[in-house]
Amino acid sequence: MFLIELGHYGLWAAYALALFSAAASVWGGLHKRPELVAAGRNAAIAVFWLVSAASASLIVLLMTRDYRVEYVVSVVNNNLNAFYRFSSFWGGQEGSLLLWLLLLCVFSFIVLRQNRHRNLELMPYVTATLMVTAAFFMTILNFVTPPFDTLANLPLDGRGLNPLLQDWGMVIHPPNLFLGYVGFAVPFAFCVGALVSGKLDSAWISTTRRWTLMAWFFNGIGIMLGGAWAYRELGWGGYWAWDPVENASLMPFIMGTAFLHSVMIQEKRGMLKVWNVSLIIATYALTLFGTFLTRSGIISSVHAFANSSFGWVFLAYIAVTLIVGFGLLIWRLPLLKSEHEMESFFSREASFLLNNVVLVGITFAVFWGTMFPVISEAVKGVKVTVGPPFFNQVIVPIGLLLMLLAGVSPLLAWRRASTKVIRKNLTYPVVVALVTLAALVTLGVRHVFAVLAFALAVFMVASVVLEYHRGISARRRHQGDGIFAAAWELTMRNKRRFGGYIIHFSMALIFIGIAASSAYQQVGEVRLSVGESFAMNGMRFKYEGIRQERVPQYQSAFARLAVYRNGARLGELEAEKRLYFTPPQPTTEAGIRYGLTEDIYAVFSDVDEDGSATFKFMVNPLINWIWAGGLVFTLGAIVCFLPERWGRRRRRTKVSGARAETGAGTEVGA
Amino acid sequence: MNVNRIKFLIAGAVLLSAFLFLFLSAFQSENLSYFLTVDEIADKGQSLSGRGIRVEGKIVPDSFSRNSEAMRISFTLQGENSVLPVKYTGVPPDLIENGFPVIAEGKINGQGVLVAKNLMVACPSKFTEMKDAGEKVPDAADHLKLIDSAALIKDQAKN
Repeated sequence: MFLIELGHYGLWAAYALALFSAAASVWGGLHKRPELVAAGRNAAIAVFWLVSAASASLIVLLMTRDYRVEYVVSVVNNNLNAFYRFSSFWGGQEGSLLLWLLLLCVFSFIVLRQNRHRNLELMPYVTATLMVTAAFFMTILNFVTPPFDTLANLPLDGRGLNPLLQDWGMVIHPPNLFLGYVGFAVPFAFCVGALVSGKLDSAWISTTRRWTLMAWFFNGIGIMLGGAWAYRELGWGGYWAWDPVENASLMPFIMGTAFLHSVMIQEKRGMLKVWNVSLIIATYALTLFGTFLTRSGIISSVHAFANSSFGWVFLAYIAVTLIVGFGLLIWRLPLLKSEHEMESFFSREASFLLNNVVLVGITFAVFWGTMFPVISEAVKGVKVTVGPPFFNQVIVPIGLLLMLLAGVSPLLAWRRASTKVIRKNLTYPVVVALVTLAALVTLGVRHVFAVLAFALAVFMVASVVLEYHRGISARRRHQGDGIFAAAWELTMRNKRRFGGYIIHFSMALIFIGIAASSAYQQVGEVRLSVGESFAMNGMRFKYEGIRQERVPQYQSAFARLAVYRNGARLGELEAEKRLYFTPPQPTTEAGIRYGLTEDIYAVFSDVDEDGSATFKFMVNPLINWIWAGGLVFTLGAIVCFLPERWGRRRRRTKVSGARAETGAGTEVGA
Repeated sequence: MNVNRIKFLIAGAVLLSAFLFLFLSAFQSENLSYFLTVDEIADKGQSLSGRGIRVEGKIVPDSFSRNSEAMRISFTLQGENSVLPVKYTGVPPDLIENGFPVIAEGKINGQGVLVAKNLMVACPSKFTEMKDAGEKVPDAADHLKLIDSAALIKDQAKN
């Protein structure tokens, strides 16, 4: 009983303390009362401990299957193993909101520790912003979806975690996405701090550079894990369907990408200050909006999370965030004057600005398409939905423009690039891209968008290779390093710039994978008796029979398939159908033969008494390039994140190293 | 206002109009589907033919039929005062028979049947809602049919 009480009252005490912390911090900051600021700070730290204790209680209750608690009953059952009992912490509405709150409190705690003696003018408002957010989530947790409510009658078994969520991809997908969503609260809080205190230099940006990067990285990798899960688990052979819930996670990522690039201009050139503030307010609002969209049921989604009644609370909070954020921005406009003017189209600044406009354009298109049912109902009284074709038609061309910019930007100098330099920098990547284009068309690749995407991806890679090549040659000339040593040193001495290039490279891989798998996917659906085969473009699938397995949670039927290409046997494939016992529900585990050039994908749909079964077969070209891109993306983000000095060799001479580092370079992060 | 700024404004205007064009041109009828309830479809009848429709509803119990040979399924969606027959060819989603709401996208044919191009199941992540709503949570036995038939095949294979 103790744990339930601890969680329940802990959350109420934390709620009161968070409100107190916010009020004391703001009051103390405005009236220069350090003791109040300190009280606000301590209260925020207490909130962290209380929320941690509540979360730990819930985890213990789940691990020990304490069926007195309603939430435990709804997500756990007698058969569920320890791994999934732990992950069911975020398997339902209440728990996932508590995880959100927990992450926010952990981040607040770290921010407070890091800034004990730094950013003192900003900190009271940073604390207040974070604690208001925490209080908002506790409003929901305490009033609408309390995780520690108990049941009157003790059930013998729980209802269990949704079988679709019993998969490692779904276990780590939500926490990743949440780390991203919640992470953006930190730069937002510092932005509010800067606006209120009037200390509007780039300190708020440089302090939160790693936070922004972390949030952005986890948001991105969370999206990718969701896609990978859908691909393996849902049996439709795709990874992205422009479903509202997916769009909800994409929007803050794209807006965050814009922010990540444009803050560099403020750091280097003191420009775009108003724009940066607007971007982070919008990004943060989009993370809230994403949470709202997934839980409110306002838009019909396949993902249909628990349809809950707190939609309006959320909308109100988003409205308050936007009004306060943009209100402060307007109030501080006189302090946000740009220090320089744009000088030329052919400058790093201008290309970044263009990239920003493109990214905001994509976000807007996604937002409009997602919200269209609501908008059209409000305007015309009919709910009209736009499907994937709408998104593809709008976003593919803009995306191609974005790829072009990603290739060009790093090669342009700040302020103004002379025609000579532009020619010198762009000749090689442009030639490589054009050769690729010509080669693909000659080889018979006729899908217009796919060909363009491949050529532009090659262009992006060429621009990264060119930058690496120059830096490496310079180091080899001046330091006498070997190739690998030079590449390592170059990266470690310019982590933000070359980490950014690695991320550009990963994006090229991902775009290639997306273009190939969406333009050239082959699908066949067929009914086969045991021993029969199905042929599709040189591939042949032979259905060899059924095999069964039983584990405590579910029973499986595997359809055994032999796969041939042009008559040669490639190997075996087993497509699985599972039937979970509690809750009783079938799931599909696609049989996938992964490959560098293509995935062979089989879904086993159903089977009759006579053994004839229905299958869906697919060949998905280059789809693994997307996941490989995810790994490279992770690597690039780690490079950007590493401490400044990490991994460098001690300097041999004072002058030498500098040369390679002063070229036209870009950097990721603030 | 200096020349430079004018240049940037013009460039911005060109870019925005390009976006706008892209945007508006994507709002073609084949990309749109009207979100209607079963009753609204019954009211509007033939006027809907040729239009994309998206409808969400529960399947009328026992209306589900499956022609495995032809890979066709058909069922009826329940409205307040009317019902809507739906046909689909292909591999249906796993949970189609579990009693969850179904989302069907397609067009109405001459017989007033929705020929679905897309079929999805809106499955709640929690089963509480279903129990609260007093609906029948699917019985384990319902779903063991498939396993039984699979077992049968295995036995036959042994013999």
